[in-house]
Amino acid sequence: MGLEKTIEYDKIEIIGKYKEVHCRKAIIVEEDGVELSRTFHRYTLIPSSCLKNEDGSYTHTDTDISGEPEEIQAICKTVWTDDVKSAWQSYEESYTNVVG
Amino acid sequence: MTIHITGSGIDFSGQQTNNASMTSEVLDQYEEGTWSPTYTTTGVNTTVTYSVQQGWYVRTGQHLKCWWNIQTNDVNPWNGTYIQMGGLPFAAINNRIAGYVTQAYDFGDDTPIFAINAATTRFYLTYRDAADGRTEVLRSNDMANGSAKNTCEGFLDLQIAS
Repeated sequence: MGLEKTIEYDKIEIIGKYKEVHCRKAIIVEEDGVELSRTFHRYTLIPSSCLKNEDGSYTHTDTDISGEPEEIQAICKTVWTDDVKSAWQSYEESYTNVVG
Repeated sequence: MTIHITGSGIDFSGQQTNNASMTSEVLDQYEEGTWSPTYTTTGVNTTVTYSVQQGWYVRTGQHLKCWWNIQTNDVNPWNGTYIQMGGLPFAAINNRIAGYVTQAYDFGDDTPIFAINAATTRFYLTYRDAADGRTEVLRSNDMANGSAKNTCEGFLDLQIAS
């Protein structure tokens, strides 16, 4: 069999009132079924991104989760309700205003 | 000291003097891994590709320490107002972060030196303005276009959810 590399999303956590989805991707290397190494890569998904326009208005764009595993997509769609998205967008605008 | 083998952590309550503002004496999380730093802007969309995009982290309880090394490639164009760095492996729960840029070039005379003001997974980069000495937030017009530009390395500490 030799070496085999597999990827496993071994932690998917929903954190905070804005329901950020924390994802841990485990990269596992095995030799003949025996695990040789396991390393982690982390990223966090948020409901949307906020862009401040030149006229001072804001444009909110939903986070593109189409490239995520189906399990993660399903979680995002469940927890990112309209209320959560609205609260997140308000927070994003307040944050953007901190320096601008 | 009590070590809970089941995964709830290391309990230091038996050996330390309690501090009035203390909130926990259990070390319940440790993890290390990689993350992918990004440049984003607070204006209209900017498409960025990278020639270097590396990040490492160590999480100890609610303390997250991150290192990053990033370099852009063929950005066209830099839009918007302010530059943010994003992609943190965990979301910050407040703005109390401390971050330092250890190496940066191709930013003209506005080379970033600090990282401030985290909002969940992003933070701002700042520089000291040569004209008046004030600390300013890095802007899109401080960034360069072309291959192998906007090199920035640094680290930051922040608080994340337990």
